[in-house]
Amino acid sequence: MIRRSWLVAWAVLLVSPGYAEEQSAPAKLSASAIQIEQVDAGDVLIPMEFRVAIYESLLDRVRQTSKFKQVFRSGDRQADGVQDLLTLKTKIEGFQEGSQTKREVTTVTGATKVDVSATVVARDGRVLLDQHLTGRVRFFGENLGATHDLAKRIAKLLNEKL
Amino acid sequence: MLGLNPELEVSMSRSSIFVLSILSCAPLLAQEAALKGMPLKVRCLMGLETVKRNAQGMLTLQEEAMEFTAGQAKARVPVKSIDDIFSGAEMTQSGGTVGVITKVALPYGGGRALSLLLRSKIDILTLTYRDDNGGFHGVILTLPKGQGAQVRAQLVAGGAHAHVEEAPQPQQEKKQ
Repeated sequence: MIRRSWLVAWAVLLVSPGYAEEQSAPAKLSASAIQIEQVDAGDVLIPMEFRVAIYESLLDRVRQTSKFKQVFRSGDRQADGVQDLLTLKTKIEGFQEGSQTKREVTTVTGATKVDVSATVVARDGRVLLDQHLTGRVRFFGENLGATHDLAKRIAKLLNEKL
Repeated sequence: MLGLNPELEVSMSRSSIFVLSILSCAPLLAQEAALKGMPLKVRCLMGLETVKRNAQGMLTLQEEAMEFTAGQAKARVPVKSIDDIFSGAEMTQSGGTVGVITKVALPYGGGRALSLLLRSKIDILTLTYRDDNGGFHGVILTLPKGQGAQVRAQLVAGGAHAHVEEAPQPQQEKKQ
């Protein structure tokens, strides 16, 4: 009798974390299209090529995930008629330009870093996602590699959370 | 001087001056090519839909469009649709994939020394334009040093919109 009650108790303990996760996991939203807005630099001084590279890399990465049927560019008039359209806004919060030569010679200095906040907004103005992310290039590669890293992280986040 | 016939020495010195003068004019001729809209060897880092990333190709500036050709792939951007042009410069590592592999393979920190030798300065030209649907596009091109500003000037002359780039401020003299 005691053995049976122990077994039941163990079974309840083992099952409960999974049950709790199921309860707390937010329901994923399904949207057929996303529009990627231009990168807002705010007050941060960042070269234009970095802003453009983040924007173009984001378009590529989000398309690669196949999460959305349509991925629209900023300003695309075709997006106007889409009902369940999401909008991805990216704002630069920090930028540190390193040096490729420094990275390759010293390995510990010369890293390039881009900090952004990524926000996904629904058509009715609801904020569905707001997260801070950082793109880096530490060892090999050009400075613009930080933008590819950042785009990869944002696309992964969209794939997981939406 | 070399123990040769004096007439031969004079003719050799003349020919060497001629060869040197042609060699010294080569960079100027290259710049002239860029100005007249001749094909210019550039690398398209990203932004042209029909062209792969990091594609090496030829940039041609025509009257109404900027055309980039890389093998079979071809992209055309109407000059009038260009919103803004930014030119900048960056220090990068030359040598490509072979250079990277060599740097990794060299023992006793030789790769690090090679990194110092393989530095090269390039110009970066960033263009933003709108497509027929109003979609925003950004193109990043890398050009040989000194040609970014010239291509920018030629695009502006062709009707592209561009902000006025601030001239570099002269360094203030140190007060004694």
